Amino acid sequence: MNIKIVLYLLGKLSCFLGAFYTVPFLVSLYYGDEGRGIFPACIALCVLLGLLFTKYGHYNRYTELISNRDGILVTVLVWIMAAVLAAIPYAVSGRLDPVSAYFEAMSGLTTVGATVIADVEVWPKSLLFWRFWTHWLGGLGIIVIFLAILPTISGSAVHLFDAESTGFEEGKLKPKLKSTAQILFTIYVGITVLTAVLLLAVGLSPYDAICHAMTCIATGGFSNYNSSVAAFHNPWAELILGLCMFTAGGNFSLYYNVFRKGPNLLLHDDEFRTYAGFIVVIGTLITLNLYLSGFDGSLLHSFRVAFYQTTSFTSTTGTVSTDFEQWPAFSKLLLCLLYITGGCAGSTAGGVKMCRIVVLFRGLRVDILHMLHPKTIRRVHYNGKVIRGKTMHMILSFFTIYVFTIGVTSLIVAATGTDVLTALTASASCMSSAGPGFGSIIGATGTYAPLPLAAKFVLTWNMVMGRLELFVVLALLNRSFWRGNSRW
Amino acid sequence: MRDYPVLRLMGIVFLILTGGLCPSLLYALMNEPRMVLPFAGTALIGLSFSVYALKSTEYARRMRLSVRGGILFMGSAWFAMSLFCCLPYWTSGHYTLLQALFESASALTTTGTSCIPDDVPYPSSLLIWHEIIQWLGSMQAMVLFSVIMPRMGATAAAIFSAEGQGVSAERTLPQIHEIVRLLVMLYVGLTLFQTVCLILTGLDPLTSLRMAACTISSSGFIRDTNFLEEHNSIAMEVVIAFFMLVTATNYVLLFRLVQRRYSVFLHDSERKWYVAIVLITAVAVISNLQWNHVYDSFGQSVRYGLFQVISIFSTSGLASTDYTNWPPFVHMLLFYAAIIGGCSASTAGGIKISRLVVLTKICILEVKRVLHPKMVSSVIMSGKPVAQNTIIGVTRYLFVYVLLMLILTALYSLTGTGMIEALSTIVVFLNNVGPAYTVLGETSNFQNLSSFGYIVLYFAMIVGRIEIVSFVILLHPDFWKQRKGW
Repeated sequence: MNIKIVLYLLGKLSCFLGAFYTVPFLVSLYYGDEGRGIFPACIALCVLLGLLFTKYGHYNRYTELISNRDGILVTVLVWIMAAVLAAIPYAVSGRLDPVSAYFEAMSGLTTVGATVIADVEVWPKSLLFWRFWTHWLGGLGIIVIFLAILPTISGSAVHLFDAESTGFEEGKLKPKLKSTAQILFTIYVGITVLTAVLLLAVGLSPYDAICHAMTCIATGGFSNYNSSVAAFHNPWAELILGLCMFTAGGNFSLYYNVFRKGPNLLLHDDEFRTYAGFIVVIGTLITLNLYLSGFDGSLLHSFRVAFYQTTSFTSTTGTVSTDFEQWPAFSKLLLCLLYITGGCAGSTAGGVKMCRIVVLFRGLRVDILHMLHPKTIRRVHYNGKVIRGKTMHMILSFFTIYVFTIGVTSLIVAATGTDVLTALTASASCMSSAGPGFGSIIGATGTYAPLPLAAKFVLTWNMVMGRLELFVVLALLNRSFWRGNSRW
Repeated sequence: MRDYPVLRLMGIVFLILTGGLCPSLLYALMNEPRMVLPFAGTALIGLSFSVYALKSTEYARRMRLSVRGGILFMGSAWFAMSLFCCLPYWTSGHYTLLQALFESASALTTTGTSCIPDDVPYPSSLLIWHEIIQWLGSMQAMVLFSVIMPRMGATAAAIFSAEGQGVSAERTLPQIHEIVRLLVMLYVGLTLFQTVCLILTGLDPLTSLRMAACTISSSGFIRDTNFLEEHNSIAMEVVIAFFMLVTATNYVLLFRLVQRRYSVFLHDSERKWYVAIVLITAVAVISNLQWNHVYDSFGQSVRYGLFQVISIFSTSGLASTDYTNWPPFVHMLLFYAAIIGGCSASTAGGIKISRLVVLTKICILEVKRVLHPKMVSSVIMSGKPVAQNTIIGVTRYLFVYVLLMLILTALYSLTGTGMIEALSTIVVFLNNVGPAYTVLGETSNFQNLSSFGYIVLYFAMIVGRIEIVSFVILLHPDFWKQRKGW
C-alpha cells in the first residue's frame, strides 16, 4: 500500500476544498453573519493540511501507477476526509455536535439530503449556503468521476472504482479527459443556472432560487426551510423544481449525446424511458390513491403533490412539497419502492439505478421463457446491446448486496434503539441518497436529529456505500486488502 | 392440455385429502349431525375426482413428470387443493366463501392463522379437518419439494445438490416411489415421536397428538392461542422447540440420518448454517432482552427468546408468550428470521437457508472480485460447487421475492392498514409463519378484513408456499399454449 500516493491525493483534495470554501466566505461577507469568522479559518486549515500532505506524499504521474488497492483506499478516504473537513463549520459554530456535523457534511457531499438540523430557519445564511454548496460540489464530483475520469483511464492505472461495476461501459464522450469534464461541467452548470433563473422569474428570492436550484440539480434534498419546498406555496416553483429534478436524475452522458445527435436518442434509450415510465406510472397510482381516499382535495392538487413527490423520490432528491407522512400507506409504500430502484446511471441519483432494474426485469422474462421452452436461445438486450452472462451476474449480485446491506445496516440502526420503521427507512433512504424517511421521527417534516449518535454514524456509512456503489467500501472489509502483499 | 402424469398426481393428492376427511366425517356422524352433509358431500366430490383421475391415467403410471408438468402441478395444485378443502367450511353455512378459502389455505400452506372470530361457532369436526389438512398439506409440500422440485432447476432444493442427497432427476420411478414412501414414514414417525414426548411431559394423548401435528407441520395453529402460556411448562416448550427445529431441517437429510449415513448429515452446509444462524439470532435476541430488562431472570430470557427464535425460523409461529412488547431490535430480528425461514425440502417457508447461504457466498465473492478482478471462483455447498445456472436462479429468486413482497404489501395496505403493519402481515403470510401476533410487534386482526384483503393474503400464502416461481410462470401466456416438444 503506497501511503505516499494516498497522502498526496488527499492533500490535493484538501487544497481543493480550501478553494471551495472561498465561495461561502464571500456569501458570509455579503450577509455579514458569523460565517465571516468561521470560513477563513476553514480555508486556512484546509490549505495547511493540503500543503502538509502533498509535501509528505509523492505521486509522479508519469512513472508511478496507482494500484487497485490504493485506488480503493483513496476513493473511500476522499469521501471521508472531505466530509470531515466539510463538517468543520457546523461544529465550530457550536450548533452541532461533531458526529451530527459529520453526518450533515456527509449528507451534503453524497447528495443524500438527510438533515440533522432541527430548525433550519434560525441558521446563518452563509452556513446554510455551505450546505447547498456541498450538495452541488458533491453532485458535480460524482458526475465528473463517473463519466469523465473513469472511462478515460485505461490500462493498469487508477481503478478508482470500476465503471464496469454498473455493468455498463459508459462510453468515453471525448478522447481527452479534460474535454469530457468540461462538457459535463457545462451541462451541469447550465441546468443549474437555467433553473435558478426560472425560479427567480416565478417569485423566489435570489438566495432561495440559487440554493434550491443547486439542491435539485445535485438530487440532494436540503432546503433552507423546515418544511422544504412546501414553504414556498408556489406551484410554479414546484413545477420548475420538479423538471429540474427529473433532468438531474437522467444520464448526463446521454444528454451530451442528445445535444450532438438529436432528441430521438432520449426516446430510444431504454433507461430513460423506464425512468420516465416509472415516474408516470407511480405518480398516477399515487394521484389516484390520494384522490380516491379523499385525502388531498381536488384531483389537480393530488396530481400536483403526487408527481412532485414521485419525481423527488425517483431522482432520489428528497425535497418535500407536502407532508407525505399523512398519506395513505399505499402511496407511502410506493415511494419506498423508489428507494430501491433509484434514478439513472450517470446522474447524481442513487439506488440500484434504472439501467440495472431494466436488465433485471428483462432477465427475469428470459428466465421464465427458458423454463417454458428449455431449448430456446434468448438473449437479454439493453439499448441494442446483448447483456453477457458475466454482466448479468454482476447486476444480480449488486442487487443482492444492496438489499442485504440495507437489511444488515437497518438491524444495526435498530440495535441503537430506534423503532423498526425508522431503522428500515433511514438505512434505505441514506443508501439510495434520497433523504427523508418515514415515521414520526424522520418523516416528511422530521429530521434525523433525534437519532442516537451511533445510528447517525452507521448511516453515514450507508451514504458512502450508496454513493460508491457498495463494492468499493465493502472491499475494505476484506482481510486480503490489508495484508502487505507484493502482488499488489 | 392433457398432461397425464399431472392428472395422476392430482388424483393421488386428492385421494389423500379425501381420506383425511374420514376422521371429521366420523366425528360429525357421532356428535355434530349438521356437519355430516358438508363432509359427506366433499368426500363424494373428492372421491369421484380422484377415482376418475386415477382410472383414466392407469396407463400413465410409468410416465415421468416433465418439467412443464411439474410446474403446472406445483402452480395449480395448491389453488385446487385449497378450493377443495374450503368446501366443508363454506357449506357449513357459518362462513363466507372468502373466509372459507382463507381458512383452508391457511391450513394447507401451514400458515396457521385463523380468520374466524371468537364469537362465530367453530364446530369441532371442522377443527379436526383443519388440523388434518395442515398436517397433510405440509407432508405433501415437503415430499414434493424433495422429489419434484429439484428437477425444475434453480429451486432451493436443487441447491443442496440433489444429486448428492440421492434424489435427482436421473432416478427411476420406482426409486422415487421408494423415497417418497420413506419420507412419508419419516414424517409420520416424527409426529408420533413428538406425541409420545409430549405425553411424557404430562399432556393428555389427544392434545399431544394435535400439538405434534401442529408442530411437525410447522403451521402453529391452535384454537386457543394462549395455550402454551397457560400451561407454563418448560418441558413442553423444550419438546416443542426441539421438534420445531427438527421439522425445519431438510427431510432428505434427516432421512440420511435414519439410514445411518452420518457423514452426509454432518457435512451438509445448509444444516451447519441453519444451526449457526438460529444460534446467533437467539444469542442476539437473548442479549437484547437482557439488556432491556424485559424479563427478571436470565433463564426466562433464554426460555422465551430461544423458543420464539426457533419458532419463527421454522415458520411455525407458535408463541410461548406475548412478545408484542419486546424491544424493536428483537422484532426486526424476528422479521428477518421469518423471511429467511427454514431449510429447503422441509416443512418451513421463507426464502430458505440454502438460498441465503448461496446469496451470502455470492456477495462475499463479488466483494473479493473488486480486489482480484481476474479471479476464478465458485460457490461451494457441502463440498460441491454450485452450478452457474443455479446461482443466477437464486439471485433472481431474491429479486422476484423482494418485488413480490413490496407489491403485495402495497396492495394489502389498500385495505387501510399502516406501512409497518402491512409489511409484517405480508411477511407473515408470504412465509407461512402465521402466529396470532404479527412479527413486527403490532397485533393484527384478520377477522374482519375486506374481501380484497382476504384475496391478497390468500394469494400471498399460496404463492409463498410454492416458492413463487411456479406462480410467476403461470402468469405467462406461453404457458397455456399447446406447444410441441414438451
